[in-house]
Amino acid sequence: MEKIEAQGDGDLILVPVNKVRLINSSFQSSPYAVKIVSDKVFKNNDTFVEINPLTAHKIGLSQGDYAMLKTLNGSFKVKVNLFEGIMPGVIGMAQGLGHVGENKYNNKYIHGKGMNINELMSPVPDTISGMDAAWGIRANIVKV
Amino acid sequence: MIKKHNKAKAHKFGMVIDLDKCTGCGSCMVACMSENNVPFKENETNKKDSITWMHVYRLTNGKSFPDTEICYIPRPCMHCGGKGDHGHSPCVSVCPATATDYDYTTGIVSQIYTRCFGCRYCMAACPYHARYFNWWDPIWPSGMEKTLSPDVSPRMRGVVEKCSFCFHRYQAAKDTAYFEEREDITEDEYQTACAQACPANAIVFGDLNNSEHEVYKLVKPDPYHGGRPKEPKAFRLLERLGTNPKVYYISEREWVRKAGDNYVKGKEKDHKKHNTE
Amino acid sequence: MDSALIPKEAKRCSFPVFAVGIAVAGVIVLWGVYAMGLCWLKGLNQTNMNDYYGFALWIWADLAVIAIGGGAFFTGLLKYVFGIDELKNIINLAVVIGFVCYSSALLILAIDIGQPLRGWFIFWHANVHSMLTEVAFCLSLYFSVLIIEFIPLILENRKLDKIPFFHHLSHNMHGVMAVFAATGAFLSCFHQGSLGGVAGVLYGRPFAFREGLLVWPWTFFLFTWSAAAYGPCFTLTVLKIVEKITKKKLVKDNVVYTLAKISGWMITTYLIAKIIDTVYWALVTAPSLGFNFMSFYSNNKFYGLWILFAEIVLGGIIPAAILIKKDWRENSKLLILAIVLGTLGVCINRWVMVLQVMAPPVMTFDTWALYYPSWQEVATTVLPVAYGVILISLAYRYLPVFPQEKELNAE
Repeated sequence: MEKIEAQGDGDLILVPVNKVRLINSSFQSSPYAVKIVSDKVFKNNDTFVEINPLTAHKIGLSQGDYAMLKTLNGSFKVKVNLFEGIMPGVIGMAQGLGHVGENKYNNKYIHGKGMNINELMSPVPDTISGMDAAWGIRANIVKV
Repeated sequence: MIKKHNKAKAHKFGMVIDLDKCTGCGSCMVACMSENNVPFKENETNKKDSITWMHVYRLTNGKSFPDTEICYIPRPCMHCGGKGDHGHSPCVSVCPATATDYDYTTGIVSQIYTRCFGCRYCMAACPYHARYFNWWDPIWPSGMEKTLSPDVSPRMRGVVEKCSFCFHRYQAAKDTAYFEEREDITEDEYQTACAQACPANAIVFGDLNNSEHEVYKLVKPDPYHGGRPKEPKAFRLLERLGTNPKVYYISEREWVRKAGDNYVKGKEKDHKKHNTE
Repeated sequence: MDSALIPKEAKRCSFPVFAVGIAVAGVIVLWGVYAMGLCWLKGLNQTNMNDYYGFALWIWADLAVIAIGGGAFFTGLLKYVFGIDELKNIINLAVVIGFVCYSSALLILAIDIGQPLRGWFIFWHANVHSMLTEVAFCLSLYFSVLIIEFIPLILENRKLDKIPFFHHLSHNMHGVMAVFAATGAFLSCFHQGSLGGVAGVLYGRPFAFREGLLVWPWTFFLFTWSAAAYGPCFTLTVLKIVEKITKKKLVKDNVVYTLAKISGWMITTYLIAKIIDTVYWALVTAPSLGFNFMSFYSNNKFYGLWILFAEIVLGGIIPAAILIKKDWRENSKLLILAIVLGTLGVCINRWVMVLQVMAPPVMTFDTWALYYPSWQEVATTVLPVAYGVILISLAYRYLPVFPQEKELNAE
């Protein structure tokens, strides 16, 4: 049985997190839903990532620090949110941010908020089903 | 107790929220905001000036992975009965213009937007942060004015607003009962937007003075102690301050019940005191 | 140029020099007026206040300015009711300071409320149970008393005094001034007290809440007492500043020392009550609501124990000690230290009872909140200071504020 591994190199694994108040697909959340997303998910122009305090401590990251999150597909400047509930060694980032609207579809209440984690992710083909497995990717995070 | 002309007992509308059912989805928040014409800005990430009459907080039990547990707590206005449950809510007592008032026939703390001159004393008084100030005038994106609820007045800047237990729905239910020549309204005729919207049925709303209502059966409020719940799994936030809120919470988890109030180190057992009857 | 308006035989600096001084203060006033306009036109989003800090710099400024203006009512009480006659030589200054302080408070309140045009609702739709209602009524009435106390001084201007009607009016008003002084003291007890009551009744905020006597929390009495105790410190501070700028001695030492001594003993007795109240609150009241005393002081550097130390020791025990001991009180440097520390001490107390109240969370899952004012808030708070400088300068230049000035500066 072939084992599918997270791509890239990096000590940690970046996973998307479904936040119940954000639609994590091409549909957009409504302004009222975007309004109630926690300020530990995105705040002003900053997107947060969740890291276990043990992991953060090893890397030298504290709550609210800016950091560079890097995968083989690119890097984002993010802010750190420490959360005991996430597994050590894993970085969680909300999926469903980073919608952009163009021209008459540009809605300032919902567009341009946060970063789209899909830009950092890489699906891996599952040779048996032919579908893409897109769950985690190896990542590094460094304080800036 | 004020008796109505048909000898019915005064209502005491309240809410019971099951914290083991709440998923933190925020439907209650969204339903409340759209029901009550709550304004929104482009950037609502500063939660200290973001108006959410119903606000869902997230708590953790403070333990490390993998023993971390979280709990979501929806917090509407508590409609406090105040000291002795006599209607001296912390906010009602301090408003200098009587822009907020305690209604003895429903137990609801009102907010009169046209009377409020924005001194914010009530906001200083409320320990639950249930009150919100209009720091800006609302801007409704063009076309959205048509979606506003006609039963709820929008507010201009400079006044305080808060959860009203969807009082306009109470008025509508009373009107219906009147037209149908009934004296009183039934339990399901007056339900708040948040209770209606909750997909997990975590929020139950009704008359705490009516032993037939679900809210009464869930918490068994003690009328001799300001409505304190007799049900041991139920609690009210900041019970020890004596605010006598009308919103009750239920949880099987003791750490959640303990998080409802403050205890001096070493005296955590105090929280069992009022739940052992 | 304006010598006809200057009191007889008094020396004043030349008009151009005076005009420049007023112009400098005037620029600051204009800056404040601009900020005030922004707040009125655009709303309170011009401030850094938010739903956690509904009470902020302006409310502190109101409370502080009314506390330090307490010298007016207290000096009036001492002179007219208790008959300490030598205080007549400083009472005019105290009244002018009081007028400046209370008009500033009313101005700041007009900017602070969300709907200034509805400000009159506090009178028309008054809630008799609210401490703030009491504040509004007594403050407004007392401000009228201050106007009445100020008018005779204005009428004593050399030019105005020539008009027989004004001359007789001021003379007659002086005759009945005791009634107004007593009324003013009575009203002051209530509004100074109810400002303390504003914080003390907040039973949803364990940091502020106090038990008390009937409807009055202990902070009610503590605020009245501290306003009476520390108000003279500010009166004397202003006197020293005026004397420094005009390079004249304006009030005899015995008057200053009398007021300083009384202030010292008032501060001492106030501190005894304050310390007892703080200890009882820390050991009994707050724990009964679930709060450890240290929980209010161990979250961040700004609200640490230093602020309690500053309020009670630096702003309380030290000035009290200096003012009650004759040798220290009559040492000019120590006296200045005492009156400045005293003024700061009461300002810190008002900050603690308003802003520190807003900072700590009450619900267990809530967060601490800190605040700093926006430039608009600072400008509108500095505005009354600049206006006060202008008014006191005008009063000193054209009115016989200091009866002993001539005698002390005879050549």
